Amino acid sequence: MADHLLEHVRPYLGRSVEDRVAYMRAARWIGHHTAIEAHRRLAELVSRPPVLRTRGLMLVGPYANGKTMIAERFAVEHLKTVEQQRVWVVQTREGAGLAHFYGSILQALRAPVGNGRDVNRKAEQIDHLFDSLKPRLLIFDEFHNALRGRSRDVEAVLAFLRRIGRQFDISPVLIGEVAIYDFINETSEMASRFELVAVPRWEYGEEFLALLDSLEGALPLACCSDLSDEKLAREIFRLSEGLIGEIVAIVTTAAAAAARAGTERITRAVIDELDYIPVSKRRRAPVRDCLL
Amino acid sequence: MINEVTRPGFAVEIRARYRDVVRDRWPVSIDPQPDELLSSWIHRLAIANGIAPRSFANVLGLDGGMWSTRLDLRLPCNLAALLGGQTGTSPAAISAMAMVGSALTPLLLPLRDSVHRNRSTWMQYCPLCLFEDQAPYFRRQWRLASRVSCFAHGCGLRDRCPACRRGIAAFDQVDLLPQHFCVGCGFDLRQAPKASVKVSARRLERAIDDIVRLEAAKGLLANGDLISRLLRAPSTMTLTSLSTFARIRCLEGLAAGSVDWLGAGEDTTAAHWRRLILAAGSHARLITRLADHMEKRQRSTRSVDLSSPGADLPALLEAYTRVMG
Repeated sequence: MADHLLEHVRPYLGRSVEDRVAYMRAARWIGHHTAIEAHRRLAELVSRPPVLRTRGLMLVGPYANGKTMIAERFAVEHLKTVEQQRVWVVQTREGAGLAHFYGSILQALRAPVGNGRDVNRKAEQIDHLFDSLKPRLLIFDEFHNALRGRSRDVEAVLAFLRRIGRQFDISPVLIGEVAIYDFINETSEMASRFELVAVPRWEYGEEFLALLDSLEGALPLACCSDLSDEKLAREIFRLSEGLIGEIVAIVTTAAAAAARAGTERITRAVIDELDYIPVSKRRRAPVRDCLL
Repeated sequence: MINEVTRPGFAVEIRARYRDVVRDRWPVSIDPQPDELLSSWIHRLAIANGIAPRSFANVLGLDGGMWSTRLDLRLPCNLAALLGGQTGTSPAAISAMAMVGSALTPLLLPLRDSVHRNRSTWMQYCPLCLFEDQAPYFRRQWRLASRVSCFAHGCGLRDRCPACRRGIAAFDQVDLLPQHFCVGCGFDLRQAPKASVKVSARRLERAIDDIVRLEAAKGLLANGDLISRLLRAPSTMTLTSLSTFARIRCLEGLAAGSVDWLGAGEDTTAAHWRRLILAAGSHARLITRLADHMEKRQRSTRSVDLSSPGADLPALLEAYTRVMG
């Protein structure tokens, strides 16, 4: 009966409803083709020989499309396999200017903070730490946050990336929205140093159906839902608009509802009951009228 | 179930979050060196993590001034735990570097920053030891007023920078410079000229050091008069207020005179041990002499026994009847 589920998921069928719902809601890693390819490029960058000219990557795509998932999974796997950490993930701060940017790097390195306000001291500390730690890759998550602000602040941030590449042989990986692609390609100096790894929207096709099948295998529902059936798949695709974050959200919410209701399978009716509005249509949704 | 098409599936796993997996300690940890003082280790730790020692006080939540030297004398539990947790050094190792509650506390040089050249400063150093270190650090021994020379190199200790005459102020450093650079003028303390100490004074200093450690280990320091005698040894001021130069001269004077000033007028075992150690020159030499003497005695008594083997039994029985009868 549980043939549609993956090996490690089958034991969960015996648990209580709340346990299963919690398991469904947990954050997941999905190894689809773009993700595997991105990992290959990142691994190539970590193991490259030292060069004089920085080579970096841009991981660009729409929101909610799994870019952070790809980067974090790569960093976690790296931490598990090597003794000396060479890859750090920096959460770029939302303020503009070099002070905030340095602050986010220091926080990622878990460095102690001596003097909160002096930008020069922070720069000195970062140089000193990079000298000792010798990182290979710095992954900047939400990098478009640093591109907000005056043009000279943005110039300073980009100049910093060039310098750490030249001085310490650190490859930056920039994750974020299409604004990053625009900024980097504005000057040929930066454009020549960064390669693009696109994380595009999903299209309706074999890969999408494979994704739905894999997801179905990971959610502990007793009955087979056959998500790759044309009608269900088309509906999920319409509601999610090709974003993997939305796909996972819709499917897990429907699965949780099905588990709670006791029907144990996701059908068209279950999905309709969610009343899910696609993200692009939310601005002028009919439900807004009730809020006035 | 309608389409029996088999597709290659993707791996789907619960993922660990990066922030849960990444190590939460400070990026750089350094190992304590042998007999390193706690404040010296903290300064080296601060510089290794890219922060100047003076700003590192903010990290530990302390105010400025002689913040690290105060930690040597009194280390709060929360700071010890913080340092231990963030560096991976065990709290026991950290406490061992401090001089908290040591019986030798009255002999420590006071935390003063006087300008007078013949007054003491809080820390002495040996330029040759600093030169030989891969990462120059200050030893706990150098804080004692009873120490005036280096046992390893035989030269005198110094307590001020030769160029600007300021004492060691590594806690006030605002640049990322190691501790062997004077904070006031940037002079490299490793290049300081050697101070000379007479052999007799060095011998006396070694003996005093051994006596002090012996009585500290036995727990006699608190009740005994050794410390007060040492502090009163110079005729002008207490030992701890004199500069290293003045203390070297004082010891040379004492070595030239009689040796009785440490144990004079006392008949206790402690005083007796002091005289013995002073006469032998050091505790190690005294023990070697005693061991040699005992070995010689053992050999001579054994030779006496071998010459008369069988006289024992009748004498023993006779003694027995006498006793019982």
